[in-house]
Amino acid sequence: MAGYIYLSTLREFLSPRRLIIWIVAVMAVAGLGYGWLSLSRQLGTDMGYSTLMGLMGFRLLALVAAVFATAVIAGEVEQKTIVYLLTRPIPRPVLLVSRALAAITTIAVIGVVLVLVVSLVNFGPSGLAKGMVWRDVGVVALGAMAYGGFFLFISMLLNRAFLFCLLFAFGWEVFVPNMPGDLYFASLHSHMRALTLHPTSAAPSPGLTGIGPSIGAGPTAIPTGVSIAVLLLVCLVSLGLSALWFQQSEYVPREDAE
Amino acid sequence: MSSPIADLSYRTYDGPLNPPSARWWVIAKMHTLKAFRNRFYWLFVGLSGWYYLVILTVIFIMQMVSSNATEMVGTSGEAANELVRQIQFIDRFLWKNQYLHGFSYGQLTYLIIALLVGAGAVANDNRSNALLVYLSKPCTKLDYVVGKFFGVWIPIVTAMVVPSLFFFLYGMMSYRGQGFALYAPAFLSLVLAMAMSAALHTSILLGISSLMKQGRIAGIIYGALYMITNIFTVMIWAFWLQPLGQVRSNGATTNAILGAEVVDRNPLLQPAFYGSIDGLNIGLAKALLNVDGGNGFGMPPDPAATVPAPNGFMVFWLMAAICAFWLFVFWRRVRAVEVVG
Amino acid sequence: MIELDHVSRWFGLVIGLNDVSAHIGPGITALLGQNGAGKTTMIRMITGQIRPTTGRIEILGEEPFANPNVFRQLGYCPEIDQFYEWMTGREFVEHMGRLSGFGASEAKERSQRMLQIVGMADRCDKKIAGYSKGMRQRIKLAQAMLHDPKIILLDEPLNGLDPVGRHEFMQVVAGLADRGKCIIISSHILSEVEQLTHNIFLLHRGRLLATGNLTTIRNLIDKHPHRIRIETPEPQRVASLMLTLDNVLSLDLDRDGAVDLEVKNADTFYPAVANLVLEHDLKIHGLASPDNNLESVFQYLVGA
Repeated sequence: MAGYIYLSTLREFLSPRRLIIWIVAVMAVAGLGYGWLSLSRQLGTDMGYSTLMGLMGFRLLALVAAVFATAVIAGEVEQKTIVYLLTRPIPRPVLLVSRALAAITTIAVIGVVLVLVVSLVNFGPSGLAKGMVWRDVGVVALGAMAYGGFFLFISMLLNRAFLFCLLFAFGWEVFVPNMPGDLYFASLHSHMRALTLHPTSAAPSPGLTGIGPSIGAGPTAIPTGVSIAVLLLVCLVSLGLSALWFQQSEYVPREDAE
Repeated sequence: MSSPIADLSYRTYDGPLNPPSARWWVIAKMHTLKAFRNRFYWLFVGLSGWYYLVILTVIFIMQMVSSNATEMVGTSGEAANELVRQIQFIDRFLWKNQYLHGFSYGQLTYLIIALLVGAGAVANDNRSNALLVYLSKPCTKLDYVVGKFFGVWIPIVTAMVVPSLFFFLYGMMSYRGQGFALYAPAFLSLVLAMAMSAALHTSILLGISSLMKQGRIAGIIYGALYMITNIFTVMIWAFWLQPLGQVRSNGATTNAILGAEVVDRNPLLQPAFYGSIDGLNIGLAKALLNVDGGNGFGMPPDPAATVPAPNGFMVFWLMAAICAFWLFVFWRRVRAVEVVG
Repeated sequence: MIELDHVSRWFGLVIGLNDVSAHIGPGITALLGQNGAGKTTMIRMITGQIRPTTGRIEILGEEPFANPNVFRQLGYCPEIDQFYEWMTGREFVEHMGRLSGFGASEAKERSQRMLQIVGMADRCDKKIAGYSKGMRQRIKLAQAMLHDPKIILLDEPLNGLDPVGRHEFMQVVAGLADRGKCIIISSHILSEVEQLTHNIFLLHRGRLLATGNLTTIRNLIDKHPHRIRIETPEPQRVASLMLTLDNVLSLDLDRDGAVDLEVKNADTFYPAVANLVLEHDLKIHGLASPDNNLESVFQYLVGA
């Protein structure tokens, strides 16, 4: 049963109807990346790739995660089709986790495509031989799990979860890594950056609006093991709490759902 | 002539109708009140003013420290004088820059408010066939389009103006003697920039929403469009900062960079920086306020890292053209056709 | 099969269902009530979507909320018209079959059978987005019956069905009831519900107003005597004979030559009339009771 739910949800999430916006986004990223790199040849290919991943790859990953994680249950509630799922003989935690895993897989697939596109734009076909690229594939998969799980939990707790996920992805995740002290530890983005082991830059990190960590100027001194543990833990704890919450909650289609 | 329906008078009703000018307002008012009744709306309005709260707190604390240090001057001599000079940073304030910072730091929350208010504005009508209801009343397509526009625009512009208005009133009451009053007219420029910015959000959102049957999908598409264009601006900014990094890596200090004016950039970078939705909004605000921005929170300005204000005239007309395009899309999509499902 | 024990449900300050106790067994039960009476709340509690605030519900001996054991025996046709619009009708029903635990081939086979029963076999390969309301209704019915459940809840199933569709649907439901299924139908179309069952469950403003057999309930409504209309070519003679019966409370001769009566104890009145006809060789063309139906009972009980 779990397998069927996972596969059918994955088929739905990876259908051309859903993917078209992301195909456009990836193409836009490729175009932007190419333009940007042609103006920044002096950076060197490794630093260029690292900067592009920081600026585009990880940011877009958070956006993709916000979209698909909120589609797991909140999308069904909004479409009112949740009633068909909740009156079938499926234990609710199985339903939730199966769909969540499909969402995480989708996020990871789009993330990996992004990494490969950025690598192709930057290194050309030889990028596939770079250890840094394959390391990033792993980091993106971990990031998909952490963002996917966390956003799913937000969507369990709040109506209009997509808005709060956006706030987290482009508010919290941008500001917190630039805050003084060890606050960067509380950002998933910091852990992903730390795991990538990308080269660092001497570029200035101007204040809270800064893009320092994205361009390799921020703190990256988190041990690899700690970052992996944090990302996995965020995913597992979020999924567990979401399953508990889902098991107890009532989902009645609202007439004013938007 | 006999008819199986006894009373056909409703077909030729010639009684009083409300004046045509009021009908769009019925739709606009309904949307506006719906937004104002939403607690999340006010939560995000509060959040959008976070910069003002922070900067006022910083000023308050610095003034307290400054006042204590002033008392020390007599006993501690020149060192205390220097301390006072350093921390009386309020005197260095360019107040209208704070308007710009407040507006810039609020961009993300303005986006969220726009999504909250506008994503479902037409998509939900498409889904529920409410267009049939609207257009079966003595309500024209124009009434509907104008009503929806103002129904979304008013809550967004309110959300932008309210925190700034609080800051303005507080500043006028507390810092009038410290230069705030000099820049009071700049508040009107800020409101103008906000009005145009809200129009940009509203037009794009309504255009996208009219193409969809689910508010959530419309919101996702606008959110993605906003963020991807924002990534473009961030990339340009990173490129803008690159020369500083290179010079610094050669051993120069930031002050040396600034002093020597060694930064030589491609002239296309400056307009390209404003090539996103929030870039346009901030660019227009910079042009109208006649400031370049720079570091917020009372930190010293960093001209080499600051992207100068764009040509306001160009930005305004570009925004107007984008608004017109998306409103045209919206206009074309308003059709009284029943949508199954 | 379904037990409700002092069940109440509050939505904030609004009460959806107020201290309802009942037992619903096999056969067809019509769940009746005006808008806001609590029908949908009750159906949502029985289908395990929401919990009672107080009291207890048991379906086949188990609490239904989020309980897969209950859902194996329960089919639900919701009132909402939302679907996975990008699927075809066949894909949707098969998907529901897979979610019910069937393998691919069995889900396919059952779907085909159900689509034939609801009259959608020839149109089920088009996208649901293009379906009319009647077609959507049929697809919902198919998915509710797909897994051969013991209990079937149909929330406004007749909405959007054309007369032929209604007739076919009623035959299907009657067939299921004959096989011992427990079927609950919520509907506003009283005349058609009446053709299906005389077993009603009447809610009004959250309270259970009446439950049981329609005729029994009608006979208990003393406040409203039965109205009976006799069509005859000799109205004066029939009227004078009717006045000899104790049951008759009032009598009216109308211009069309019919006799309108108000009677009490309808059960004893009808045999008495039969005797009078035989004894006095009365010519009777028609005898009808315009208020001995579901609609009248409904109106009398809710005071509408």
